[in-house]
Amino acid sequence: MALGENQPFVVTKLDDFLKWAQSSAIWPMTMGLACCAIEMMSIVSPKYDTARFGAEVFRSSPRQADLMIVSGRVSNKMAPVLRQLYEQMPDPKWVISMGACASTGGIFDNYAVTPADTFLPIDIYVPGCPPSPDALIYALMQLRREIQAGSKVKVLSANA
Amino acid sequence: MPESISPHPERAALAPLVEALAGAAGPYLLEVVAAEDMDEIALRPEGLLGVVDLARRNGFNLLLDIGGTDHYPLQPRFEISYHLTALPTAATASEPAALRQPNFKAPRLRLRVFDDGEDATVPTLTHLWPSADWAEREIFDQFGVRFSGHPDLRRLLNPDDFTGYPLRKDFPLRGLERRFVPGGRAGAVPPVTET
Ligand code: SF4
Repeated sequence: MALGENQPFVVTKLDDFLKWAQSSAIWPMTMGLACCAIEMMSIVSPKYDTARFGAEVFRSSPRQADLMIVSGRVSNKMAPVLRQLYEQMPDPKWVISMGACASTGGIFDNYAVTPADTFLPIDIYVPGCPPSPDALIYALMQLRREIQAGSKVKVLSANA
Repeated sequence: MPESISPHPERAALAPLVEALAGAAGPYLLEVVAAEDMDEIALRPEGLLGVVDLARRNGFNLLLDIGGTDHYPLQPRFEISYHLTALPTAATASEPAALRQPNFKAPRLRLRVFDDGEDATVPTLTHLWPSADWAEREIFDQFGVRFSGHPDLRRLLNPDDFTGYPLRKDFPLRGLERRFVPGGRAGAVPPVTET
């Protein structure tokens, strides 16, 4: 059937279509570790509303999620659990390290806490203690750019 | 003396019992102190069960918490502190009206058990109060004080294969080992086993 003059259609590459789909429907995992998790929870509240960006459905199973937000300090006892959750997530998957503790250990320079990047590949670090919900949303937007560009390197050079 | 800090009548009525409890500790009694908030009895671990038994039979029916302190380098080094309270029950509240008075406070009691050395051991209270279970496990985990008779004395907060007792004052703040190293990524963690 031939398309009429006013029937809309789009021509695209399959790759671009996939990236568009992935970046517009990010499914974070329901997982809160410490005080940062309180700020993380508020991003899906009506006030901040990440539904605007298609990232409001926190999944309770890692097998249905493609974004892990490490929202708080990770103890040495918890780290293998997080690693297992990460490995249970289907590819492609991304990790946001939220807050000072997850990114560097923060004030907890002690026997119990380890930075998340010692055992997970982190895509985005969000500074702050805790980061404001806006900062986390900015990280989400940055992650969308990263997914659309195909890699972090391309985003960084485009921003430079 | 402002009324707010005057000892409440329940506490005055407790004096004979505190004396009896101190007697129950026998030769293991260290001291009896009328602290501002409650009476406290300091003793050696050998006297603990006798004192707790008498306290229980006289209305102290709730173990609030167990705490640990490392007084290093002082001797004796470890202090395990127990807080007991006597909640009124149908059997003990002979005058329910008194309980409804606005400033009624359930009597409290503090037991401080002192012990020393690597093999410091205190008798468990898990057979009397099941809530003592995790409190004693946490103290074992953090201070290395053992509780004789505890049914399941494992670490509670630290990983099972952790070395050392981190809340001891001579434990290095950053720990004895790095379990995860920067840049370690996948390799640094033991392989995941599916369960
Ligand atoms: S960064 Fe601050 S708010 Fe976040 S987990 Fe650490 S201490 Fe809590």
